[in-house]
Amino acid sequence: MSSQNQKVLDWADEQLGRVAGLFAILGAVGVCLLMVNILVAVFWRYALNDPIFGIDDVSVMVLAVFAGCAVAYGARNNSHVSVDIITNFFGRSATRYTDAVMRILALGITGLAAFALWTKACGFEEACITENLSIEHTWFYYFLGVALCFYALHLLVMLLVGFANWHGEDPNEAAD
Amino acid sequence: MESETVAILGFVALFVLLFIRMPVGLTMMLIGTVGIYLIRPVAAVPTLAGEIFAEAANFPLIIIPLFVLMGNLAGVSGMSRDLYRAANAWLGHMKGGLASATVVGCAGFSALSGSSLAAALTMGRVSLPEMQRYNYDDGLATGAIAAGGTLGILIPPSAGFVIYAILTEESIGRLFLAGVFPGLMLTVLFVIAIWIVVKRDPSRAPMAAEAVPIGDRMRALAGAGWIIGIVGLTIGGIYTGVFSAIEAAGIGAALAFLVTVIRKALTWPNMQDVFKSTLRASGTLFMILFGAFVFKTFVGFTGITFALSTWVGEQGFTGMQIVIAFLVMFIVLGTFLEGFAILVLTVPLIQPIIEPLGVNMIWFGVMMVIALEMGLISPPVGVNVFVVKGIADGVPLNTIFRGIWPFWFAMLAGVVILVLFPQIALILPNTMFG
Repeated sequence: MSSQNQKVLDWADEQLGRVAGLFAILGAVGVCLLMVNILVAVFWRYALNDPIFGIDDVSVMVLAVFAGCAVAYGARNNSHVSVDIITNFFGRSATRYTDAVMRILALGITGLAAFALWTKACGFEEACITENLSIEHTWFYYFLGVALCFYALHLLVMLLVGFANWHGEDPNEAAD
Repeated sequence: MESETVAILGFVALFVLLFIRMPVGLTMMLIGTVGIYLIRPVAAVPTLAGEIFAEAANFPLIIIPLFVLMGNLAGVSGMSRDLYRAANAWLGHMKGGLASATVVGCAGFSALSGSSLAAALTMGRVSLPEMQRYNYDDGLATGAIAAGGTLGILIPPSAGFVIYAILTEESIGRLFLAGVFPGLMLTVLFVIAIWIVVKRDPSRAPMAAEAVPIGDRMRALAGAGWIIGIVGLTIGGIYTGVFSAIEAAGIGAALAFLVTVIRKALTWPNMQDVFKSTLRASGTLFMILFGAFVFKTFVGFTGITFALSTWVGEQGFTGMQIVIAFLVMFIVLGTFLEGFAILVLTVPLIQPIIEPLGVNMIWFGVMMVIALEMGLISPPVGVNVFVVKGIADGVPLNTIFRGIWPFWFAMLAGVVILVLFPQIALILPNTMFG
């Protein structure tokens, strides 16, 4: 592989790392908000005997953002569980092919999922809003689409890195 | 193509893709989407979007990040160390006592964290150097950590129960309570297993720690007061109906945060570590759930569950026979599939078969989680074993796997006891308030 291509891949990887950092910050804020929301809801209900109308709607929408961040950040950190039996039977001579197939398929489904979330938001829902506060769901579909698109881009970089190191050890393995 | 044929091809493709290391969540998402497309083409893409959003915005799933956060905060605030110290003070002087203290410490930590990996990792870091200092056999020491860690998905809060509850639409609170006594029973069985191992071969735990005076033991127990208090409040709150399981998660996380602040452990590196770990663990579970629900919809479209339950009905099997057959299947699957993968792959198929036979889904959930625990330490893909390997540098993987077997059989004994005495699991959920 030319050094120019390697530089492009390194640059792409670095940018994905930066975006993952943003997902991490947003996710951390999200989980703190979830905690505070529940504390406030419990305090108002028990101490002030005055349940807050619609606070669960806020929690649910924060959860959607958190879930997107967690999936994207998890992708970047190889947290998504896979079953590694194949390396007990075959070496790199076989896994260079199976990994390429696996990454192409994974890229395909994450890309399709991102596309589905952007184009079919609220497709089957009768009312695309939360129950009490009528918060519109559409934007949260879009955000999840962004998270899955990030996952797809990460897989694309992994695929290209795998191709770039076809005849040697795959640097993605070290990350796994 | 017949929908049953699509289902069978789907399962074959699923195992092929898992074999080539495709992430579990993405595999189920891909097979589910393609399968739905083959049966009802127009439904495939909207179902994909709808199921992902439905799980991302599924209110009960708030429990997952909050309990993971609570466990991580317990780790950095030193509460896990206090727990090990207390267990050590009471049990350390006995034969094999340090290994028993590790198991008890893991059980206590599991009551703050829903993750087996977190329990094994956190307690392992504290207890392994201590056991090595007293010349414990590497197999016994690492086996106790790996097995003790598995209690994380049985003793509430448990990520396994949350996923099972979401898949079967059972109450998370009732499942949590159902895990309490079986979790304690398993802890005792692990301690008995350690005792038998050391009794048969004393060289595996040649030295014991010095006996601690009763005053120091009480002080050590008081040192673990925070963790005991948080566990008592969250589990007690669920049992008495004061909190829902979701509220218990929020309050538990807030209290763990408070303890972290009080102990001046709220440093920038610690917070980065806590939030990154929370995101990673939650991301793993959300991705699996996204895929699981697309796959579940596909399985529903094929009608294969109806065909299977009809077939089972025609054969005249009893509920107990079917339950035992499934438990054996889980144990076999656990030797090569990851625990959560087994859960999400099999529950949509199993539930329609066993529920009409009158099987209590709460009881079945507890036994299923124990079977998954066995998978967590079974070769060749026992995830907990690899976690322990990560903290036990010089110990070969084979040694750890050899050390696992006494605990694996203790779990098997636990499953048999629960099959014979279902009330051990059901007494708390059947008497809970609210």
